Amino acid sequence: MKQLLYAMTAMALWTMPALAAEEVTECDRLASHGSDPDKIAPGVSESSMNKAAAQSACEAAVAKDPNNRRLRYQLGRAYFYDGNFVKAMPHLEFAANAGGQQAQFVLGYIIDGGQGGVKKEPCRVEDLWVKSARQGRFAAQTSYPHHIVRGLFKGCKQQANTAEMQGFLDGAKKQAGDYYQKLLVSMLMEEFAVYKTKNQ
Amino acid sequence: MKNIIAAVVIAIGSIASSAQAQQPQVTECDKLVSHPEDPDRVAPGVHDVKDHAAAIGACEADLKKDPNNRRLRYQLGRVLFYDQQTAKAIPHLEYAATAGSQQAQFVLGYIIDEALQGLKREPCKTEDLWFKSANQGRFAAQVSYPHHVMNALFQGCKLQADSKAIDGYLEKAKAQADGYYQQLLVKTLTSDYARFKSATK
Repeated sequence: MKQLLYAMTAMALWTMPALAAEEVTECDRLASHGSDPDKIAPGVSESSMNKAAAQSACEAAVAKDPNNRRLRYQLGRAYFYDGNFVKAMPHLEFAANAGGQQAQFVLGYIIDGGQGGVKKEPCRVEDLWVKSARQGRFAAQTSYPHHIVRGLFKGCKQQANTAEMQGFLDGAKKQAGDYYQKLLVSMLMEEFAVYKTKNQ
Repeated sequence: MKNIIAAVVIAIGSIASSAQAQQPQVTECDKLVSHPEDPDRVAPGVHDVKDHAAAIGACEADLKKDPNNRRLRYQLGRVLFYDQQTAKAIPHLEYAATAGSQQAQFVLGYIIDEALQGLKREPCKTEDLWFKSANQGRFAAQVSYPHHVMNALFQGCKLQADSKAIDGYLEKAKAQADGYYQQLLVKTLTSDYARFKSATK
Protein backbone atom coordinates (compact mmCIF):
# COMPACT_ATOMS: atom_id res chain seq x y z
CA MET A 1 0.00 0.00 0.00
CA LYS A 2 2.84 2.31 1.04
CA GLN A 3 4.63 1.58 -2.24
CA LEU A 4 1.51 2.32 -4.19
CA LEU A 5 1.19 5.71 -2.42
CA TYR A 6 4.84 6.53 -3.17
CA ALA A 7 4.34 5.60 -6.80
CA MET A 8 1.21 7.76 -7.06
CA THR A 9 2.95 10.73 -5.38
CA ALA A 10 5.99 10.40 -7.64
CA MET A 11 3.75 10.22 -10.68
CA ALA A 12 1.81 13.29 -9.60
CA LEU A 13 4.99 15.29 -9.03
CA TRP A 14 6.39 14.16 -12.36
CA THR A 15 3.33 15.28 -14.30
CA MET A 16 2.74 18.53 -12.40
CA PRO A 17 5.17 20.77 -14.30
CA ALA A 18 3.48 19.86 -17.55
CA LEU A 19 0.11 20.81 -16.14
CA ALA A 20 1.31 24.02 -14.49
CA ALA A 21 0.54 27.27 -16.27
CA GLU A 22 3.50 29.00 -17.89
CA GLU A 23 4.98 31.89 -16.00
CA VAL A 24 3.71 35.29 -17.19
CA THR A 25 6.83 37.36 -17.81
CA GLU A 26 7.25 41.12 -18.14
CA CYS A 27 7.66 40.44 -21.86
CA ASP A 28 4.15 38.91 -21.92
CA ARG A 29 2.71 41.90 -20.10
CA LEU A 30 4.35 44.39 -22.44
CA ALA A 31 4.33 42.70 -25.84
CA SER A 32 1.55 40.07 -26.14
CA HIS A 33 -0.60 40.35 -29.26
CA GLY A 34 -4.35 40.34 -28.68
CA SER A 35 -5.00 37.80 -31.46
CA ASP A 36 -2.08 35.47 -30.72
CA PRO A 37 -3.45 32.13 -29.49
CA ASP A 38 -0.08 31.51 -27.77
CA LYS A 39 -0.50 34.60 -25.56
CA ILE A 40 -0.75 34.15 -21.79
CA ALA A 41 -1.36 37.81 -20.89
CA PRO A 42 -3.86 40.38 -22.22
CA GLY A 43 -2.80 41.80 -25.57
CA VAL A 44 -1.11 45.17 -25.97
CA SER A 45 -1.86 47.23 -29.07
CA GLU A 46 0.90 48.77 -31.17
CA SER A 47 -0.03 52.29 -30.12
CA SER A 48 -0.01 51.50 -26.43
CA MET A 49 3.20 49.45 -26.43
CA ASN A 50 6.24 50.87 -24.65
CA LYS A 51 8.65 49.59 -27.30
CA ALA A 52 11.93 50.19 -25.48
CA ALA A 53 10.65 48.57 -22.28
CA ALA A 54 9.13 45.67 -24.25
CA GLN A 55 12.39 45.08 -26.13
CA SER A 56 14.46 44.96 -22.99
CA ALA A 57 11.94 42.79 -21.07
CA CYS A 58 11.68 40.38 -23.99
CA GLU A 59 15.47 40.25 -24.51
CA ALA A 60 15.78 39.26 -20.83
CA ALA A 61 12.98 36.69 -21.08
CA VAL A 62 14.42 35.20 -24.28
CA ALA A 63 17.90 35.00 -22.71
CA LYS A 64 16.41 32.73 -20.02
CA ASP A 65 14.22 30.71 -22.40
CA PRO A 66 15.66 31.04 -25.93
CA ASN A 67 13.51 28.33 -27.53
CA ASN A 68 10.19 29.73 -26.39
CA ARG A 69 8.35 30.65 -29.60
CA ARG A 70 5.90 32.94 -27.82
CA LEU A 71 8.66 35.05 -26.30
CA ARG A 72 10.63 35.04 -29.56
CA TYR A 73 7.57 36.28 -31.45
CA GLN A 74 6.95 39.00 -28.88
CA LEU A 75 10.55 40.17 -29.04
CA GLY A 76 10.32 40.23 -32.84
CA ARG A 77 7.07 42.18 -32.55
CA ALA A 78 8.60 44.81 -30.27
CA TYR A 79 11.44 45.36 -32.75
CA PHE A 80 9.11 45.30 -35.78
CA TYR A 81 6.92 48.08 -34.36
CA ASP A 82 10.09 50.06 -33.76
CA GLY A 83 11.06 49.70 -37.43
CA ASN A 84 14.07 47.55 -36.53
CA PHE A 85 13.60 44.80 -39.11
CA VAL A 86 17.16 43.49 -38.87
CA LYS A 87 16.60 42.59 -35.24
CA ALA A 88 12.96 41.59 -35.65
CA MET A 89 13.27 39.12 -38.50
CA PRO A 90 15.35 36.33 -36.89
CA HIS A 91 12.95 36.15 -33.95
CA LEU A 92 9.89 36.11 -36.18
CA GLU A 93 11.53 33.44 -38.35
CA PHE A 94 12.27 31.33 -35.28
CA ALA A 95 8.71 31.63 -33.96
CA ALA A 96 7.20 30.88 -37.38
CA ASN A 97 9.40 27.81 -37.85
CA ALA A 98 8.48 26.67 -34.35
CA GLY A 99 4.81 26.70 -35.41
CA GLY A 100 3.55 30.04 -34.08
CA GLN A 101 0.51 30.81 -36.25
CA GLN A 102 0.69 34.48 -35.32
CA ALA A 103 4.38 34.70 -36.30
CA GLN A 104 3.65 32.82 -39.54
CA PHE A 105 1.02 35.34 -40.49
CA VAL A 106 3.00 38.43 -39.45
CA LEU A 107 6.22 37.29 -41.11
CA GLY A 108 4.24 36.63 -44.31
CA TYR A 109 2.66 40.06 -44.02
CA ILE A 110 6.06 41.78 -43.74
CA ILE A 111 7.49 39.83 -46.69
CA ASP A 112 4.32 40.40 -48.75
CA GLY A 113 4.61 44.15 -48.33
CA GLY A 114 8.40 44.20 -48.65
CA GLN A 115 8.36 46.22 -45.46
CA GLY A 116 11.58 47.70 -44.11
CA GLY A 117 13.43 46.70 -47.27
CA VAL A 118 12.68 42.99 -46.73
CA LYS A 119 12.70 41.19 -50.09
CA LYS A 120 9.23 40.42 -51.49
CA GLU A 121 8.90 36.65 -51.90
CA PRO A 122 5.33 35.66 -52.81
CA CYS A 123 6.02 31.92 -52.56
CA ARG A 124 7.39 32.31 -49.06
CA VAL A 125 4.26 34.25 -48.12
CA GLU A 126 2.11 31.52 -49.63
CA ASP A 127 3.90 28.92 -47.51
CA LEU A 128 3.69 30.92 -44.29
CA TRP A 129 0.03 31.84 -44.73
CA VAL A 130 -1.08 28.33 -45.68
CA LYS A 131 0.50 27.06 -42.46
CA SER A 132 -1.07 29.82 -40.40
CA ALA A 133 -4.49 29.38 -42.04
CA ARG A 134 -4.36 25.62 -41.44
CA GLN A 135 -3.85 26.36 -37.77
CA GLY A 136 -6.92 28.58 -37.78
CA ARG A 137 -5.54 32.14 -37.84
CA PHE A 138 -8.31 34.41 -39.15
CA ALA A 139 -5.89 36.87 -40.78
CA ALA A 140 -4.32 34.10 -42.86
CA GLN A 141 -7.66 32.45 -43.62
CA THR A 142 -8.80 35.68 -45.25
CA SER A 143 -5.49 36.86 -46.74
CA TYR A 144 -4.69 33.56 -48.48
CA PRO A 145 -7.85 33.46 -50.68
CA HIS A 146 -7.56 37.23 -51.21
CA HIS A 147 -4.13 36.70 -52.77
CA ILE A 148 -5.07 33.58 -54.73
CA VAL A 149 -8.06 35.27 -56.39
CA ARG A 150 -5.83 38.18 -57.45
CA GLY A 151 -3.07 35.93 -58.80
CA LEU A 152 -0.60 37.24 -56.22
CA PHE A 153 0.83 33.74 -55.66
CA LYS A 154 1.24 33.13 -59.40
CA GLY A 155 4.24 30.88 -60.11
CA CYS A 156 4.18 29.40 -56.61
CA LYS A 157 3.16 25.89 -55.70
CA GLN A 158 -0.34 26.50 -54.44
CA GLN A 159 -0.59 24.27 -51.39
CA ALA A 160 -4.28 24.79 -50.62
CA ASN A 161 -6.80 23.59 -53.19
CA THR A 162 -10.20 25.19 -53.70
CA ALA A 163 -11.91 22.91 -51.16
CA GLU A 164 -9.35 23.79 -48.51
CA MET A 165 -9.61 27.51 -49.29
CA GLN A 166 -13.38 27.30 -49.00
CA GLY A 167 -12.71 25.74 -45.60
CA PHE A 168 -10.50 28.70 -44.67
CA LEU A 169 -13.31 31.09 -45.53
CA ASP A 170 -15.91 29.01 -43.69
CA GLY A 171 -13.61 29.01 -40.67
CA ALA A 172 -13.08 32.77 -40.98
CA LYS A 173 -16.85 33.33 -41.18
CA LYS A 174 -17.30 31.58 -37.84
CA GLN A 175 -14.53 33.63 -36.25
CA ALA A 176 -15.40 37.06 -37.70
CA GLY A 177 -15.91 39.40 -34.78
CA ASP A 178 -17.07 42.85 -35.82
CA TYR A 179 -19.02 44.34 -38.72
CA TYR A 180 -15.91 44.96 -40.83
CA GLN A 181 -14.53 41.44 -40.42
CA LYS A 182 -17.95 40.03 -41.37
CA LEU A 183 -18.15 42.31 -44.42
CA LEU A 184 -14.61 41.34 -45.43
CA VAL A 185 -15.39 37.61 -45.21
CA SER A 186 -18.62 38.05 -47.14
CA MET A 187 -16.77 39.93 -49.91
CA LEU A 188 -14.03 37.32 -50.08
CA MET A 189 -16.62 34.55 -50.27
CA GLU A 190 -18.37 36.33 -53.14
CA GLU A 191 -15.05 36.75 -54.98
CA PHE A 192 -14.05 33.18 -54.30
CA ALA A 193 -17.32 31.81 -55.68
CA VAL A 194 -16.61 33.64 -58.98
CA TYR A 195 -13.00 32.38 -58.95
CA LYS A 196 -14.13 28.77 -58.44
CA THR A 197 -16.57 28.99 -61.35
CA LYS A 198 -13.87 30.36 -63.63
CA ASN A 199 -11.30 27.79 -62.57
CA GLN A 200 -13.50 24.70 -62.59
CA MET B 1 -2.20 100.70 -18.39
CA LYS B 2 -4.01 99.13 -15.42
CA ASN B 3 -7.28 99.49 -17.30
CA ILE B 4 -5.86 97.72 -20.38
CA ILE B 5 -4.61 94.81 -18.27
CA ALA B 6 -7.97 94.53 -16.52
CA ALA B 7 -9.76 94.53 -19.90
CA VAL B 8 -7.46 91.80 -21.24
CA VAL B 9 -8.02 89.68 -18.10
CA ILE B 10 -11.78 90.07 -18.43
CA ALA B 11 -11.63 89.23 -22.16
CA ILE B 12 -9.58 86.08 -21.53
CA GLY B 13 -11.95 85.08 -18.74
CA SER B 14 -15.01 85.48 -20.93
CA ILE B 15 -13.42 83.52 -23.82
CA ALA B 16 -12.56 80.67 -21.43
CA SER B 17 -16.02 80.59 -19.87
CA SER B 18 -17.80 80.72 -23.24
CA ALA B 19 -15.59 77.85 -24.50
CA GLN B 20 -16.53 75.94 -21.36
CA ALA B 21 -20.20 76.64 -21.95
CA GLN B 22 -19.92 75.24 -25.48
CA GLN B 23 -18.50 71.91 -24.25
CA PRO B 24 -21.44 69.49 -24.11
CA GLN B 25 -22.03 68.10 -20.67
CA VAL B 26 -21.15 64.41 -20.28
CA THR B 27 -24.28 62.76 -18.92
CA GLU B 28 -24.85 59.34 -17.36
CA CYS B 29 -26.39 58.29 -20.70
CA ASP B 30 -23.10 59.22 -22.44
CA LYS B 31 -21.05 57.21 -19.96
CA LEU B 32 -23.21 54.11 -20.28
CA VAL B 33 -24.20 54.05 -23.97
CA SER B 34 -21.84 56.12 -26.20
CA HIS B 35 -20.70 54.26 -29.30
CA PRO B 36 -16.89 54.33 -29.75
CA GLU B 37 -17.20 55.13 -33.47
CA ASP B 38 -19.83 57.85 -33.11
CA PRO B 39 -18.22 61.21 -33.91
CA ASP B 40 -20.96 62.89 -31.83
CA ARG B 41 -19.94 61.06 -28.66
CA VAL B 42 -18.59 62.98 -25.67
CA ALA B 43 -17.52 59.94 -23.63
CA PRO B 44 -15.07 57.13 -24.56
CA GLY B 45 -17.77 54.72 -25.75
CA VAL B 46 -18.67 51.12 -25.02
CA HIS B 47 -18.96 48.19 -27.40
CA ASP B 48 -21.60 46.50 -25.26
CA VAL B 49 -24.08 48.10 -22.97
CA LYS B 50 -23.96 46.02 -19.82
CA ASP B 51 -26.97 47.12 -17.80
CA HIS B 52 -29.78 47.87 -20.24
CA ALA B 53 -32.29 48.96 -17.60
CA ALA B 54 -29.88 51.43 -15.98
CA ALA B 55 -28.82 52.80 -19.35
CA ILE B 56 -32.41 53.22 -20.57
CA GLY B 57 -33.30 55.01 -17.33
CA ALA B 58 -30.31 57.32 -17.62
CA CYS B 59 -30.94 58.19 -21.26
CA GLU B 60 -34.66 58.78 -20.71
CA ALA B 61 -33.88 61.09 -17.79
CA ASP B 62 -31.31 63.01 -19.86
CA LEU B 63 -33.72 63.35 -22.78
CA LYS B 64 -36.41 64.85 -20.56
CA LYS B 65 -34.02 67.74 -20.02
CA ASP B 66 -32.81 67.90 -23.62
CA PRO B 67 -35.34 66.20 -25.93
CA ASN B 68 -33.87 67.46 -29.20
CA ASN B 69 -30.34 66.27 -28.57
CA ARG B 70 -29.55 63.88 -31.47
CA ARG B 71 -26.64 62.27 -29.62
CA LEU B 72 -28.83 61.32 -26.66
CA ARG B 73 -31.67 60.23 -28.96
CA TYR B 74 -29.28 57.93 -30.85
CA GLN B 75 -27.96 56.51 -27.59
CA LEU B 76 -31.43 55.80 -26.21
CA GLY B 77 -32.35 54.18 -29.54
CA ARG B 78 -29.17 52.10 -29.37
CA VAL B 79 -29.84 50.64 -25.94
CA LEU B 80 -33.57 50.12 -26.56
CA PHE B 81 -32.68 48.18 -29.71
CA TYR B 82 -30.16 46.05 -27.80
CA ASP B 83 -32.93 45.42 -25.30
CA GLN B 84 -35.17 44.13 -28.12
CA GLN B 85 -37.59 47.08 -27.64
CA THR B 86 -37.58 47.65 -31.38
CA ALA B 87 -40.80 49.67 -31.65
CA LYS B 88 -39.53 52.08 -29.00
CA ALA B 89 -35.99 52.23 -30.44
CA ILE B 90 -36.81 53.11 -34.04
CA PRO B 91 -38.34 56.58 -33.48
CA HIS B 92 -35.21 57.65 -31.58
CA LEU B 93 -32.89 56.31 -34.28
CA GLU B 94 -35.07 57.96 -36.95
CA TYR B 95 -34.96 61.26 -35.09
CA ALA B 96 -31.17 61.16 -34.73
CA ALA B 97 -30.68 60.14 -38.37
CA THR B 98 -32.96 62.92 -39.60
CA ALA B 99 -31.16 65.38 -37.34
CA GLY B 100 -27.94 64.48 -39.17
CA SER B 101 -26.22 61.92 -36.94
CA GLN B 102 -23.93 59.93 -39.27
CA GLN B 103 -23.81 57.10 -36.73
CA ALA B 104 -27.60 56.84 -36.51
CA GLN B 105 -27.84 57.05 -40.32
CA PHE B 106 -25.48 54.11 -40.71
CA VAL B 107 -26.98 52.00 -37.91
CA LEU B 108 -30.59 52.56 -38.98
CA GLY B 109 -29.63 51.67 -42.56
CA TYR B 110 -27.88 48.55 -41.31
CA ILE B 111 -30.72 47.20 -39.19
CA ILE B 112 -33.19 47.85 -42.03
CA ASP B 113 -30.82 46.20 -44.52
CA GLU B 114 -30.53 43.13 -42.32
CA ALA B 115 -34.24 43.24 -41.43
CA LEU B 116 -33.22 42.74 -37.82
CA GLN B 117 -35.79 42.14 -35.09
CA GLY B 118 -38.66 41.90 -37.55
CA LEU B 119 -38.00 45.19 -39.37
CA LYS B 120 -39.08 45.43 -43.01
CA ARG B 121 -36.17 45.33 -45.48
CA GLU B 122 -36.23 48.56 -47.49
CA PRO B 123 -33.16 48.75 -49.75
CA CYS B 124 -33.95 52.27 -50.95
CA LYS B 125 -34.18 53.57 -47.41
CA THR B 126 -30.81 51.98 -46.64
CA GLU B 127 -29.36 53.54 -49.79
CA ASP B 128 -30.53 56.97 -48.69
CA LEU B 129 -29.30 56.61 -45.11
CA TRP B 130 -25.88 55.24 -46.09
CA PHE B 131 -25.48 57.87 -48.79
CA LYS B 132 -25.98 60.58 -46.17
CA SER B 133 -23.72 58.87 -43.66
CA ALA B 134 -20.95 58.22 -46.22
CA ASN B 135 -21.09 61.85 -47.36
CA GLN B 136 -20.51 62.90 -43.78
CA GLY B 137 -17.45 60.64 -43.58
CA ARG B 138 -18.64 57.55 -41.67
CA PHE B 139 -16.24 54.71 -42.55
CA ALA B 140 -18.87 51.97 -42.18
CA ALA B 141 -21.12 53.66 -44.74
CA GLN B 142 -18.21 54.46 -47.06
CA VAL B 143 -17.41 50.75 -47.35
CA SER B 144 -20.97 49.39 -47.20
CA TYR B 145 -22.38 51.64 -49.92
CA PRO B 146 -19.99 50.43 -52.70
CA HIS B 147 -20.38 46.83 -51.49
CA HIS B 148 -24.14 47.04 -51.96
CA VAL B 149 -23.88 48.83 -55.31
CA MET B 150 -21.58 46.12 -56.69
CA ASN B 151 -23.83 43.35 -55.42
CA ALA B 152 -26.97 45.01 -56.84
CA LEU B 153 -28.46 45.24 -53.37
CA PHE B 154 -29.85 48.69 -54.15
CA GLN B 155 -31.45 47.50 -57.38
CA GLY B 156 -34.54 49.53 -58.28
CA CYS B 157 -33.44 52.45 -56.10
CA LYS B 158 -32.31 55.84 -57.31
CA LEU B 159 -28.56 55.64 -56.75
CA GLN B 160 -27.62 59.00 -55.28
CA ALA B 161 -23.85 58.45 -55.42
CA ASP B 162 -22.28 58.22 -58.87
CA SER B 163 -19.03 56.34 -59.54
CA LYS B 164 -16.94 59.43 -58.82
CA ALA B 165 -18.58 59.83 -55.43
CA ILE B 166 -18.07 56.13 -54.69
CA ASP B 167 -14.39 56.40 -55.64
CA GLY B 168 -14.24 59.29 -53.20
CA TYR B 169 -15.81 57.19 -50.43
CA LEU B 170 -13.21 54.48 -50.97
CA GLU B 171 -10.34 56.96 -50.97
CA LYS B 172 -11.56 58.48 -47.74
CA ALA B 173 -12.14 55.04 -46.26
CA LYS B 174 -8.55 54.13 -47.15
CA ALA B 175 -7.30 57.14 -45.23
CA GLN B 176 -9.43 56.21 -42.22
CA ALA B 177 -8.89 52.43 -42.20
CA ASP B 178 -7.69 51.33 -38.80
CA GLY B 179 -5.83 48.04 -38.58
CA TYR B 180 -5.13 45.17 -40.96
CA TYR B 181 -8.72 43.99 -41.55
CA GLN B 182 -10.13 47.41 -42.33
CA GLN B 183 -7.21 48.03 -44.68
CA LEU B 184 -7.72 44.66 -46.39
CA LEU B 185 -11.44 45.36 -46.66
CA VAL B 186 -10.87 48.73 -48.35
CA LYS B 187 -8.21 47.25 -50.65
CA THR B 188 -10.57 44.44 -51.66
CA LEU B 189 -13.47 46.84 -52.26
CA THR B 190 -11.29 49.24 -54.25
CA SER B 191 -9.99 46.57 -56.64
CA ASP B 192 -13.45 45.00 -56.98
CA TYR B 193 -15.03 48.38 -57.65
CA ALA B 194 -12.47 49.18 -60.36
CA ARG B 195 -13.38 45.87 -62.05
CA PHE B 196 -17.08 46.57 -61.57
CA LYS B 197 -16.74 49.98 -63.23
CA SER B 198 -14.98 48.65 -66.30
CA ALA B 199 -17.48 45.78 -66.61
CA THR B 200 -20.48 48.12 -66.40
CA LYS B 201 -19.14 50.87 -68.67
